[in-house]
Amino acid sequence: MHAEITGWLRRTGYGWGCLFILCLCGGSFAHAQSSLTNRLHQADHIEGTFLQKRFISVLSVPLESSGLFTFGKESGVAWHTLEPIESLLQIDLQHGVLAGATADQLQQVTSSQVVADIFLGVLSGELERLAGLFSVTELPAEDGWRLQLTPHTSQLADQIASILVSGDEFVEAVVLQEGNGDRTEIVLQVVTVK
Amino acid sequence: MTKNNTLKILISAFWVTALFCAAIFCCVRIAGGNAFESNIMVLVPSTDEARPQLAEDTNLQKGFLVLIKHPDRNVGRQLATEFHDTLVSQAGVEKESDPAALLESLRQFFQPYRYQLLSREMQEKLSTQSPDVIAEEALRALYSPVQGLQLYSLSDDPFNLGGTWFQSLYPQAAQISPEIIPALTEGGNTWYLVRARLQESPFSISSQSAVIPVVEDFRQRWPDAMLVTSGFVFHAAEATATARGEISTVGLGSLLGIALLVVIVFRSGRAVLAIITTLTGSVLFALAGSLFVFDQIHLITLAFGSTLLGLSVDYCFHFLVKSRRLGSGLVAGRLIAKGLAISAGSSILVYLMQLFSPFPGLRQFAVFVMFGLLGAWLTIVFLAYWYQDSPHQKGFRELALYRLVQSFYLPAASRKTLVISLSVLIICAAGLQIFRSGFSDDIRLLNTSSNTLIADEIQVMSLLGGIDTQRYWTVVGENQQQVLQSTEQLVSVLRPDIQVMAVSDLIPSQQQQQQNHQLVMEKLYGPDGALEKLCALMTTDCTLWQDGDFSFRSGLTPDVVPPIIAGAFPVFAVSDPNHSIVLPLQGQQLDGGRTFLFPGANGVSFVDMVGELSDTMAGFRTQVSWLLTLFLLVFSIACLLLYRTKGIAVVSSVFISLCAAIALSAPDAITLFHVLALLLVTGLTIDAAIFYRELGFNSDSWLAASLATATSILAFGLLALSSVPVLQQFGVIVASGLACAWLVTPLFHLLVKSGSFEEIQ
Repeated sequence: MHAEITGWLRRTGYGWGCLFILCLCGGSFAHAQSSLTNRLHQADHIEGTFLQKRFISVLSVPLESSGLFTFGKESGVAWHTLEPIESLLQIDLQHGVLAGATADQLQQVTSSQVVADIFLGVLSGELERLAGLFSVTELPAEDGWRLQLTPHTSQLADQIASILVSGDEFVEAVVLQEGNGDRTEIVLQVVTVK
Repeated sequence: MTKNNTLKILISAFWVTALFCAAIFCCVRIAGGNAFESNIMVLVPSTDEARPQLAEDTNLQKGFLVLIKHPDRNVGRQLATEFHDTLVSQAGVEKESDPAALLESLRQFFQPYRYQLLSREMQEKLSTQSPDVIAEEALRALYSPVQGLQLYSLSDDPFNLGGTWFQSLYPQAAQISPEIIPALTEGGNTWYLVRARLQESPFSISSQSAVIPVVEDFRQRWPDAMLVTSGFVFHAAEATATARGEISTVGLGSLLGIALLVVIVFRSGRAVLAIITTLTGSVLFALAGSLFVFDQIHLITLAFGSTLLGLSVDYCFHFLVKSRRLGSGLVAGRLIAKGLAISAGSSILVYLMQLFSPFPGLRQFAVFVMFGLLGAWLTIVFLAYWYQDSPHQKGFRELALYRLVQSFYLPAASRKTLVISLSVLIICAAGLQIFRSGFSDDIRLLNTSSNTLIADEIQVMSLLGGIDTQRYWTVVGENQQQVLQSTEQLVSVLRPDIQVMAVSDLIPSQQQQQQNHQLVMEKLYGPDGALEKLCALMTTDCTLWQDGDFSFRSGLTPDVVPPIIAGAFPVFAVSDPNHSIVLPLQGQQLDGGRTFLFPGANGVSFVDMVGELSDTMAGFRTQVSWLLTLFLLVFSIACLLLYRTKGIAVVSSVFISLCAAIALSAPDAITLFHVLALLLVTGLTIDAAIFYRELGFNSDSWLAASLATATSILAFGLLALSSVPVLQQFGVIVASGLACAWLVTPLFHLLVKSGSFEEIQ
């Protein structure tokens, strides 16, 4: 299953992070937004798959997981991890962050508001939502584009040192560098766009 | 040199010296910049000083918060940033400590102890769940892109004990977005939280001047934006503005009224000068005396004290009317000397009663007015030697007025049965009023904050939570560990029903830390614990995790907590090795607070500041009522002894005026401030009745009494317009009591004298 998803991700080259990118353009947000809005595909509903790797300093090998995701402007984000252990994450404006093993076991997560803000800000396409949190730098890219998001405050930087997002018509990869040295890499592929 | 001249020089020298010294003393104290106070809390009695007191902790009072919202989130952020920068650039305002620095301090300080600090939820979870279940849940969290609130990295704390513990301390922490100006999203709206701190007390005028103009300027410039305030400084500034406004209204109103009356009645520059001299002497003596007795005078005292202008000028009116008639200040002075002495003496005696009040504010007011009356009395004595007026005959208008008075009072005095029946009716109405409306000792009468400001506080509370500083539990013990253990016991009893904040949440007792550590080792890091299960599930090498140092660390006690952390938790501000405090979060029903005391809870007590103050007010109301009754009894006997049957006129005037004041002015309930106002009505009515008794009811005494009543009613009538309930109640009752006294005092005088009107020609 894991290999299938990875292979499919590589073939399609699409990612949920397209909207993630849209929201993470700031000070230079206006500039980044206008250039990316022209390139990114606008959609009300997206479905796709993801492959995630977490690099934790005390572990010799990264923790790999994969699954499906959906994003709707009304319904928010659903992040369904299938391998190696099933779990579901649901984020929307009304309920915040909910997590559980399955849909009927979802419980409120006392998660940082900033996490919900980033997910929803990104996926709803509201770039300005994150302007208060990050500054954006455009980095050189061979194909498509690359952006680096750097927190404005040391308080946030303690948690998230930086976020690197890259893609073309859609977001293809997100690298989240944590303040303590741990790192999360996510590769996204969009399967359905409405 | 004649005896009179010697006396004149001696009295004048004494008066001028005393006035000069009072003026210099006032100037020095006021120039020192610390003569006045606006903190409403200093007006109410302080509670048991031995127990922890949160409300008076000045460090907590210095912080304040402003929430800014704009329909456009980005504009809101920009406005909040500009507002914050403007605010902290003001002298006397500084940035609030950086939340990142606090978080880092928390992280570093508690890091060695992270395996012995557990939230209540985590304690329950570890007690009830198996290591397998805990491991599976931890595995899901590891693969989730969204982590819960974390204090330590996954490497240091794979089960996020630190995050859940911190979350339990700061339930709102996860809701606040760490932007440059922290933001809070609620119902689709984003509020920006501007926090700042005053260098001085929020009750100092300089602190208020630094903050309030910035807030007002923002509101004017950005009408689309919404600004909500929270903090002592805003309430103190409003109280200051209210007091200032009322000092201006009452003081200026009294002065204008007095000036107008003097010009209309006396039409003399000398009379105006005499009035100004009396007022100056009275106010300077009052201020100097109060500043001598007290370190600071409250602005509310000054607002109350403004009514002194109306009182002190009464003596001057009696003096001026007599001087004008007799053409000699000295003769007039001698004529009114006895009446003046009895009148001022009895009024001072009435105010002396307030010195026994547990309310510092009332003691201040009593001292202020006592010294003011003394100053007015001395000034009249001084004026008697210097004031000269040519003998004056009544003009046509005055005679017409007196005839009008005669035509009312003389026929009325001849109908004794009617007057007595009306008097009985007034007494019955007062009795009915007391029976119907009962008494109220609600402490909110002392509130000077507007509804807008209170609504702001409620809104901030609903967004960010808050603690109740008026009702809480205190724990007393022989040593720190005993206090912590008792606090933990109390919290465990309270928590199912009431959310609280306690020192033991942050620093548990050593016993609790040992129990937590034991649970953590058993369920998480020990053999067959959740960490082993987790590593097995991940099929990866967990050696670094498993080789961690999980040993128990002793030494985590409240006295080693760094100041930056202690300062962020109000419970630390009032805790010491022998005391701790448990504060309920805002918005909870605590009526049964006392019932939560568990059996055998030695040293635990519930404090209800609001209830205690209301009890104090009730006690003082009863005490003053009895004192007033006693005074009236003694005064009645003294009058009857001094004036025989004619004393009945004085006593009846006082009783009927008091009853009329009660009947007309306490529609809801009788409060302490109504009773205190009755003291004033008593004093003023005695003044009028004594002067009639001493000088007779004639055109001069009636004119002087009418002028005195008019100025007093003017002063107290203006107090009745006050927005502060205390002042308003005081004003209404005194104004109606005086109006009644003005009407009935001549009537009773004539009744007893069998209707003779002693015209002096």
